[in-house]
Amino acid sequence: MPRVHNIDGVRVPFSPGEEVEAEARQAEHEARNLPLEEWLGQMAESDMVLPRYVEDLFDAMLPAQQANVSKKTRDSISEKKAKRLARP
Amino acid sequence: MSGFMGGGGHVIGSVEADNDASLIITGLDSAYDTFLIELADMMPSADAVHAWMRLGDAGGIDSGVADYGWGNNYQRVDSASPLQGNAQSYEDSSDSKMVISNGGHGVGSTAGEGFGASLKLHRPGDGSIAPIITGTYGFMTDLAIFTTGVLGGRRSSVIALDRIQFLFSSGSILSGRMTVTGVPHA
Repeated sequence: MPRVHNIDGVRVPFSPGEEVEAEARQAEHEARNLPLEEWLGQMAESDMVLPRYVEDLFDAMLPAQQANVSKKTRDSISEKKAKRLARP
Repeated sequence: MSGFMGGGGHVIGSVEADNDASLIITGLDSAYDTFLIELADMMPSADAVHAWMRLGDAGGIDSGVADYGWGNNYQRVDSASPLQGNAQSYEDSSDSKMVISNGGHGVGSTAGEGFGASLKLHRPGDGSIAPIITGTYGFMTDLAIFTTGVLGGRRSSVIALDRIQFLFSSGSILSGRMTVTGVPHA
């Protein structure tokens, strides 16, 4: 869809030069945000397996208590913490 | 037209966005020394964008690479970490726009997110100083974190200012309203 300015309520199409500049801004925006969107999607997926509150409860436990948690859950928590630190 | 805070302010212009790439209000002149710029209910079409403002004259909106300087101080209201750790600032002394929404993340486009600001332009159209704006802003980021801040920006040259522009760094403005009011001094 062609881009327009709303100037005092009147729609004025972008000039060819403005279109070029807007396309460049959009490309820059998409390049910057694609890694973040991918990361957000991965974090959302991990939330379904291991919600944040489970992490918080685990963090509140003493080391000896944490050791009683299944290795699979402990590994999932470690994996999720690593993923969070890798946020773009 | 009047109605500024119950007084006699004059609405220079008011435009409502409908998937427009930018909003521009013209007609700022020397009848007023200060103008209020209200940005209400602004919803971007793209996620994680920044809100920008530019100024211009009869020749159009200025967007040269070194036309503006700006700075923001913001507070991210994030209950997951200490508030003190979320207060930061950004600035650029030579830019093609004034960024008026910094907060570590961009403005969110999910339902309920979006951007709003209340700004002042401290100069009449024929003023002798390079135009300055200051103000406050708030928005929900693309990570659904409320962020609020104060900002300042300036056009780096004296111009015969008669218009302002609001836009997002990418995409369009799905909805929202910009209103410019002249503050009376007599």
